[in-house]
Amino acid sequence: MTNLNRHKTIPTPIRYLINTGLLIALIVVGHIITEGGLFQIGRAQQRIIVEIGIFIILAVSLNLVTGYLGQLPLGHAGFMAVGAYTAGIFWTSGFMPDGASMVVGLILAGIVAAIFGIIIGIPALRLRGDYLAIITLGFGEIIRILITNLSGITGGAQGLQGIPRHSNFILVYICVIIACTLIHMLMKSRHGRAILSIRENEIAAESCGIKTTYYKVMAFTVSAFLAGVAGALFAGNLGILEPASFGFMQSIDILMIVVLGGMGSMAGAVISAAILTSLPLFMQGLNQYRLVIFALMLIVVMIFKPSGLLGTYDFSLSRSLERLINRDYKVKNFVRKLAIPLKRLVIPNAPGRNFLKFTGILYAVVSLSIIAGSIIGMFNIGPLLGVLPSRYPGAWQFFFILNIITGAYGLIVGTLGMLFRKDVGKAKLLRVLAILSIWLLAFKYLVILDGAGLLVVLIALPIELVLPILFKTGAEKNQSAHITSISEAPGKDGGNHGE
Amino acid sequence: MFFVSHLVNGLQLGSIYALVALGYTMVYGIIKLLNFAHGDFIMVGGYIALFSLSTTFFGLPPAVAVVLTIVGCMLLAVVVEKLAYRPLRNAPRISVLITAIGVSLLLQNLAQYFFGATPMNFPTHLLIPAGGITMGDVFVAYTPLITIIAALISMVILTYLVQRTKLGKAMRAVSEDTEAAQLMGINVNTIITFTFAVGAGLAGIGALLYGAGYPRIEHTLGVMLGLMAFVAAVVGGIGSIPGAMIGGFAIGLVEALVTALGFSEWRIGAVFLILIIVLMVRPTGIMGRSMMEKV
Repeated sequence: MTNLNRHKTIPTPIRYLINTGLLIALIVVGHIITEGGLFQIGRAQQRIIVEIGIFIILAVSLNLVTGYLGQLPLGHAGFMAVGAYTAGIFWTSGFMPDGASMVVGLILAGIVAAIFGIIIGIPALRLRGDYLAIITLGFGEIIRILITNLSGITGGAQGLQGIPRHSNFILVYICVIIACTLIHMLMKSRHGRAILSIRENEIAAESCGIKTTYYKVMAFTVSAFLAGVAGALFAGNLGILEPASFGFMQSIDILMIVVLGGMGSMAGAVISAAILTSLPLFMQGLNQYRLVIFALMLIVVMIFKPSGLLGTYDFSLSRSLERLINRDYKVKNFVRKLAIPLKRLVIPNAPGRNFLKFTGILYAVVSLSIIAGSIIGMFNIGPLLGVLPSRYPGAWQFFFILNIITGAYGLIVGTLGMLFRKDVGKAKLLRVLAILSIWLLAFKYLVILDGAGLLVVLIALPIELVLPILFKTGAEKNQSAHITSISEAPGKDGGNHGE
Repeated sequence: MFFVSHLVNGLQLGSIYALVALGYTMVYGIIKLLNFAHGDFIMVGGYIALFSLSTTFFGLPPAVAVVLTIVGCMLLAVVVEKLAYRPLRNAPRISVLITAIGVSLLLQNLAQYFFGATPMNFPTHLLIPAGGITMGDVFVAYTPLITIIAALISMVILTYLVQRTKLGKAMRAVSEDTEAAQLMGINVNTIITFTFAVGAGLAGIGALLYGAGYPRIEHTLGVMLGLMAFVAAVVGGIGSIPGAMIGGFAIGLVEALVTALGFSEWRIGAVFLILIIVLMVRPTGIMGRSMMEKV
């Protein structure tokens, strides 16, 4: 316990001060970037940035139910629709002066959606697991059908038009911060622990005296409230509402954000909302493949990392700062952790595996730099950094395609390498082959086009194939040792750091 | 007469729903998975039938096309089960459910990529001849008649398969208690694959009958059809084979009834309303058994 005394901590008020300061800075900087006129950001990009904020709220609110409560509702877009139409109708009616109307409309949207949440939640949450998914799906569809058919109030299939565009950067991101803070504080409280215990084991939680139905309905209602607010912001961003944009697919899109980011990770939800929402911008050149790639991503992530990319890991600034303060031994640990895979990479005791890993890392580095390049291209800050010529047309589409192609080649090389190795199970190989073939089918035209990628294959393939044969005896001798070293490797997944 | 024609429409739609619902219910009964991709198996089956029948493509004889469609659907299901669901056999249920949604999206978008987004016309007359028979003063076309008869025959065969054969016995054993079945020497993986194949075979028949009755094949065909059949399976009691049949016909008749009353744009809403009412009053459905949950 002496360790505990030596461990320096940051006092709570200072933590809050740091966080608040950073958030204010974020809002100010973001406002300057998007609307300050300092950078050449177009209307479309502005709208995407606002949309990212809206989807962050949606993802974080769905994460409360999916990640923390452990249920799977499939009708989140329904609540969003309720909020959007409530706010849309309220704003267009011109009931109040503009400034007050904006705030009242947002809150009203949230409250109406929350009422729907209670109405739906009480019967739905008595059911478990799959039935909940079905019943929420049904409610989502009914809401959409109601909106389509009640054309007198909602404008029907034609859509509700002429909604004042209230959603600007500051409004949306203040809502984002409120939503995240609300959920964070909820999860840190006694109620949050009750919600988590329901996820871990509902029956055990119930037998510990936790009112499971009450907490389920509460989490569901908070989630619906936030979805309603997000819907209102959505209405204020587009200025026009159509029932078609609140269908089953919209619910799935939000679910996908949560799942890919990590069920139970707020940082994951925020990051993946940002990436997935802005992805269509990057992928304009390959819009027809976009949904194929999304679907594949969903399946692959579920198979290889069912808890999502970040799992339940959450980022905490003050914790990272504390780690930095107590760095005398922490850094050593960190370096040691980092050194293990590097050491294994450099010292080839099993060349086939290591080389596969090496090419994998190479591809990762190349892809990451290319993504960075595309972001630079997107925001036209290339000239500032001296990386890209100014206004290089279609720069990022090009980079993105290149990225995908190199990824495809990485898969080819990896698969062919695997074919020649004994320690790879048949099932795993089959899976990789299937992914590869789908990938190849999807990108056959692009693959043919790209000469540079072919060159990569031509160089990497012999290395990939010949090296294991050259070092064969060594590889077999060291195989058992290698396997143990893998199982010992610490921190493979990042693990659960709580929060 | 008005009544009879709507009744026939309802039974036609209902028998397709029942066939599709059987696929949902069998898979759920055996691995407790809501196979969201099942509706899209029908979509794929529809395209296979269309391409093999249509004279502008292959122009195969109807019998060959029927076999091709059924076998194609079965193969697809087996492949999907092997690649996407089997690696997740021991994963949390929520992950498997999300994977199923992913497979559904993937199939839809691949279909859109390969076959385009515009709906194609199904060559109905090549499968079932036009015309019909007159019973008293009521005219009934061949299409609904054959649809209902084919569905009933399929159900009889399925019931025989499940109740009387050794494979069916193994299926029932696995759905009752997977681990005990394994201890009795049943290869659980084989049985699961077989169940998927049978369900998809029924989906293939459903695809043929759907194409014959509603000749519009597009990549999103499976979504609504799948959802409705799925509702039918739940209303009937998911996991129960007779329940899926009853549920299918019930949902089909409800849709026909709502349409007959002149609220055709509300029929999907009505179906979901029934679903919600059934789930609230009797969550296990009409034929479902309530299960004790183990801690």
